[in-house]
Amino acid sequence: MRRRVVNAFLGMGFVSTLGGFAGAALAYLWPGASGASGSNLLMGKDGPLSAATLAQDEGVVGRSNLGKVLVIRRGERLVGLQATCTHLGCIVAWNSATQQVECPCHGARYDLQGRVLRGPAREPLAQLQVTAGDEGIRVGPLGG
Amino acid sequence: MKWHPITAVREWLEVRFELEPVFRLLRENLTKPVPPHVNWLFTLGSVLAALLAVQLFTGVLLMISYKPSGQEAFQSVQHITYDVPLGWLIRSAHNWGSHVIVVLALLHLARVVVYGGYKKPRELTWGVGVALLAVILGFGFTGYLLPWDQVAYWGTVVATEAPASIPVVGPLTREFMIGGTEVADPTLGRFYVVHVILLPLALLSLVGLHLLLIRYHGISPLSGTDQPEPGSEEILRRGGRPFLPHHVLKDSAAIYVAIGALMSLALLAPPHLGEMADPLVTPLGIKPEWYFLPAYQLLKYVPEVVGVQVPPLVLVLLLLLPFLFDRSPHRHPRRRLRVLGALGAAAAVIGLLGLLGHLSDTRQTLLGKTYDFDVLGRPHLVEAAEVGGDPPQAEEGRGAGGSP
Repeated sequence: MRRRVVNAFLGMGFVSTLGGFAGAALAYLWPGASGASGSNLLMGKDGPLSAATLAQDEGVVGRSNLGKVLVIRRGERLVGLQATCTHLGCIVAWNSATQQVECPCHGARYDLQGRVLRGPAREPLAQLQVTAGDEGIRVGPLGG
Repeated sequence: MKWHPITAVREWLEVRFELEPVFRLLRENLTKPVPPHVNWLFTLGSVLAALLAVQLFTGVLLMISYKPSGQEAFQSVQHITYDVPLGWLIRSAHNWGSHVIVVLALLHLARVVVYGGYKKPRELTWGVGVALLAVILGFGFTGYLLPWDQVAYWGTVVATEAPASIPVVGPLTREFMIGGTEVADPTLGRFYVVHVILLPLALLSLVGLHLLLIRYHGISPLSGTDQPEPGSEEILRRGGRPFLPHHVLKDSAAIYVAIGALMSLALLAPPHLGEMADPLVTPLGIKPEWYFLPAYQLLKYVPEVVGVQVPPLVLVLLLLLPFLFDRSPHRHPRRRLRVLGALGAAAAVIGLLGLLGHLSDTRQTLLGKTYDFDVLGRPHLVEAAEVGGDPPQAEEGRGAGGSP
């Protein structure tokens, strides 16, 4: 009986030790937030993106607190869409020749409202509110 | 007696340890005869082991100058390629080595399948071999990101995004894998540690176990599993030859040919280093390494949640081959034509998917006619007047995130 109790304690000690190491490793490796910038200002590689430099029918991708966003100039209007393809995470691009938003990885196509025109993507791109300000382009949720 | 350093060391050790059993075991194993059907195809395993050693050697050299951070990785690979003496050659040999090793691993696997080498009592040797294949593919997957150029970055984005589609556990699995919500600095750190520490440890352990099991069971005979396996004397009587020197010589010749081929490829076709990774722009024509092309193409035809589970399922089915799909006692290929035919057909489907993946979104000229292969790999004939224009993937007008 005493031997069984000792063995049980030893076993528990061993499992606890392993659990302690595994728990510490899990905490250390727990994924942190990455990718989104802190503000709603759309940032390019070299700083805030400006609507003034965006030509007619041109698109640009930047980062904001809503993730990566594609902004397209349509006359006086700016159209904002989530830039990450809903299929496998590539960054979509605006093709002025086809008037479609295209994914360069697996060929998914979307219209200006983010609706899927061609697979393999199944989910639409989220539409976003885009406003041009003095500091640059600001983005927010649609209707927000 | 004349003094000799090796004899002196041996005598020194013999005073302290009982070495004779060790030497006897070595002698027995090295002179163990191999069956008469053992031909050049049976050198593939040794060649594979030798090239893995070369890969370890070039990998250690690359580690000295490589810096695993998003800010420095690309520049450090540039430094290795353009500044470090022979750095381009070491990198090229490592890069080509990864391709050649996958080819050899698949050929070795095919050889074992054809000769029924996975049958009783060698199921565990087979299982360890399949695990080694998974480790080799893991090396390819994690090593692909390390140059931190556009192709590496976006290839990894696509590959790590796929598991996220698995319900419930998918998103968290992906975030654990890449260390956040997108491929970035933490991803590089994780992939680097897996590539240079964890996978090599797994590789060395599994190779050791694989060799031990091979030496324990000996080379698989062609006779059925329902017959007793021939002993050494019987093998010699049937025309078998001792492993040393006969098969060792064959192995050595094959190893030198393979190293020669590898270095020729490394010298003549060093790998390209593209532009530094830009998380805001996905370039056109992102494709994974050729051995992941079947999985890449499959993801275009079936929902991601299905497609992402097929490659691991293939490995599991391979593992279960001797238990579920080929349970007859026969080893001889002529007596297993149905099984070999089915496996050949499966391999052909995988190969076809890979070919379609390679051709998709490209323009190719076949038998004097030009075709545009669409995203699904379907060919579309290009009229003579259109030839010379841009293929569909490089259409005019692409804006942000378009052509680099």
